[in-house]
Amino acid sequence: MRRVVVLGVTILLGCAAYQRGEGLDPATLPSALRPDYELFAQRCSRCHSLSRPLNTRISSDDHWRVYVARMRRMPGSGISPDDVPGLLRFLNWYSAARRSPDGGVGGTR
Amino acid sequence: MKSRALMLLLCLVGVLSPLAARAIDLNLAGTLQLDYLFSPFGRSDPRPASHTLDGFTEELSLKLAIDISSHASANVKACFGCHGFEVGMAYVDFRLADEFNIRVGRFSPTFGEFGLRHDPGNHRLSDKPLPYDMGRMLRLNAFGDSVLPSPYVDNGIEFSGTHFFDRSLQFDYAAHAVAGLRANTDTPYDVDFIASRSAAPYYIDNNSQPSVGGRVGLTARLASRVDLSLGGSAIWGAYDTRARMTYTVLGADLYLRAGRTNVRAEYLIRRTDMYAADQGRFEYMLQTQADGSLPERTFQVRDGWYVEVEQPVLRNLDVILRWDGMRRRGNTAPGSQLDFEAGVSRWTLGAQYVVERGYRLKASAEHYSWWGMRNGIDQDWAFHLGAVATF
Repeated sequence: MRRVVVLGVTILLGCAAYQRGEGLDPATLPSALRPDYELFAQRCSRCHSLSRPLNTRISSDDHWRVYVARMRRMPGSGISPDDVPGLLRFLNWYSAARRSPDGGVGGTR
Repeated sequence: MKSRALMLLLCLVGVLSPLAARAIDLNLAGTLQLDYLFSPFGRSDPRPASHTLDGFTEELSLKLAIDISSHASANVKACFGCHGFEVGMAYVDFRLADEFNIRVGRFSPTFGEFGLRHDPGNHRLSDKPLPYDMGRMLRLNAFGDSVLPSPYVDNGIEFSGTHFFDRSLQFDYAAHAVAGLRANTDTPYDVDFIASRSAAPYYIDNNSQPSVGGRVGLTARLASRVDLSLGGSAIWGAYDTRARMTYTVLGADLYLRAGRTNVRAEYLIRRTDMYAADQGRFEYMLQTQADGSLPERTFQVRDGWYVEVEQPVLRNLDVILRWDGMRRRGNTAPGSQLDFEAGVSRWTLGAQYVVERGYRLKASAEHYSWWGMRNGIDQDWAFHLGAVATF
């Protein structure tokens, strides 16, 4: 039993030492976008991991608009029409940040 | 034959790629999961996993989503798994409004909550809950298939829609007519899920009668970070070649999210007719009719459930606890390892570790408790270790 506990604690410490989650670190985002990111993280992780939208190669604002509209209509998405502007604000910024030559912001790469 | 799905996807990519420059929005996504399932050997039963897909199993899916306009989109998904290459999606959506969408083609008819997450990149454990299992539960051959193996993919049409009454209340519905589950005989014991999903007969129907069904759901935002969804689903159809043996599947689902904690629960039940005009095909005596003759049909009932809690403990580590189970009630074939009533209850403790965004490791331990097994087996252990990449 003691071995199992030691192994469990070791694994936890190892995980804690190297934390790269599916999402972004909100502390690294512009403060004005943090509420939008929180909304995105809450709404867009019900059916899939955040890596799905964050790793996609969508780059145009128009494509994000159509993409989010399609997701909003999924059963039980919980993404109301009022949520859409905030989601698009974050996703449009995220796409631009990924493309930026300075290597991305907030773990966007 | 099995390469048709891949060829279809590649052709579609080839045909549509030039159109991307003309403002048709393409998005290619995929998932790859490799999982190793190990079940320890015992003296009384040297190979508890002999009738399941143990060892290494790989599941691959490639999906192309095409937003043709704000009203029309198409999806094509090719999968490679235990059944080889298959077409998991090939459909077109046309939306007149949020409240009315028409989907035609090959798709997963809307049923329950898990259907949306059946892709291994979208659920946190290596395997599916027992009522949706497709070949990973131990003693599969003895117990038979699950209530509704997922993904259930079929050809047909579905009407669906969603409506927000305000920011905090969403109603959605879906109603479909599809070819339906199959058994390639007119004297079946049960639905044959391999025949139901096989490309061998070109995905065509085995009888002329569509299966119908649908789902209604309600999602409420109880607080800024608390959501609750409730849903009810049903499917009805005939599955034998003469369209005389029917099946009915009912389901109820619940999803609760509070902060970063997810709680999911579903209950499914399937009542399936069995051809019964021959006592020699059954272990237990059939009930005769008033004139002493055997009825044409009897039935079996399978039900199953799961309750699952996903709890992030670190930014890159989730812990998952799941309780699921399945029961079968009904006559059996002679020599079956099952009693008239048999069942299984399973506890799973698992973890998912994010190595890199889009790349995760999954590990879980499962304890099975059986009842109604004639071979006397009442417990099993199983362990999963897997890696999944989403791209």
